[in-house]
Amino acid sequence: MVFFIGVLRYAGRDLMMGKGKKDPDPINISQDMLKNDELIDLAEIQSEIEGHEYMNNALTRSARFRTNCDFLPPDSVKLRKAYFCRNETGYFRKEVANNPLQAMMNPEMMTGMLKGQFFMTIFNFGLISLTSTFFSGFVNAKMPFPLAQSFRSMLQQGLTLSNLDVRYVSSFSWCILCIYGLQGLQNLITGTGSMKEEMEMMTGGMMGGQQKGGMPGQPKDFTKIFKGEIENYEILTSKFSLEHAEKQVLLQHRHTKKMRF
Amino acid sequence: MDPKRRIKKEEVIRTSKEAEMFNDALVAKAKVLGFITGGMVAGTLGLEGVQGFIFYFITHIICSACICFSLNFTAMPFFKDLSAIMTGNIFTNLLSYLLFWVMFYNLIYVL
Repeated sequence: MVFFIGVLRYAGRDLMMGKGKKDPDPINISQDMLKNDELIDLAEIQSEIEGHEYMNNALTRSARFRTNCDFLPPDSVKLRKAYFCRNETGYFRKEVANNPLQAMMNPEMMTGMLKGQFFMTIFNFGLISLTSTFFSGFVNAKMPFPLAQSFRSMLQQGLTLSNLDVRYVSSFSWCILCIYGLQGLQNLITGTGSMKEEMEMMTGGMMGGQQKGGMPGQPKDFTKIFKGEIENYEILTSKFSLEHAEKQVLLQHRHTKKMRF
Repeated sequence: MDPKRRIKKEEVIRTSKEAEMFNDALVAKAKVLGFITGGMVAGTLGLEGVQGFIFYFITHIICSACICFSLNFTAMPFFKDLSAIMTGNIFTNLLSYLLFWVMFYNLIYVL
């Protein structure tokens, strides 16, 4: 009978694999503004769009520049650095006031992203509680390795025999083992598994660390972000990697008969 | 690029980051099935405790060796370093291995 319970659990996991596709689309501020259902005069939101667009674009542009600065000759690198960081007139030295309208736009982003996350975590919790209520009191599996006694309360939740070897675990722990163990397989079968949102919640989100304001719920603090960018530029070292480009081309073709030196 | 070309000192090898990340992710995905079958083998052999974990590392070495073999042991156009295949993602598949080990151990020895 325990065998059948194990099989049923496995079938439950297979079901879960198919429901892992709740990826919400990444949301841009500017896209959000333009996707409103009401008809809005361009003039009304022109000022908002301008401010946000330029700030978003400047940040992404400077990030891209920093990653690819090796392809530019050193003078161009200096020029761009100066544009961003020059004292008094550089782009990132601007003082930016926090727009109160920002706080209004953010709840939309919040519901978009967190909906997917909450749904999947609630689904997981629901599954765990369902299995533990249905299949309580069954000894489900025997672990092939010896465990410490302190794990007893965690692994043998519904079992009445209190002196049972810790190697015999309840169905609850088998459920958790299945969830975490089959994520790898889920990643192969579907695009990504259903735990991507849970992992994101636990590690604080991928983009939250970058933007320093936190993506959901907080107005972006541009002064801090700009200061961070200026510091990034201070530690930036770039080596012009195309400096010897001509030499490399000649080396490549030195065996061609047409070239004679 | 010809994999057998020797790199001179002035040359700088530029790789696109998306390609690197894609390759690493692909290696990780390729290992998952290997670990699952390793777990099945460990379960059917009835390995206990420490032996099971040693077999985990053996499976890891075998999977890395298979991947290196399929690359013909030259990292050049795809990876910077072949040893990164062996040392990366050591414990990522531990839980999948554990699940299948426990499952097959139970199916065959306990029930």
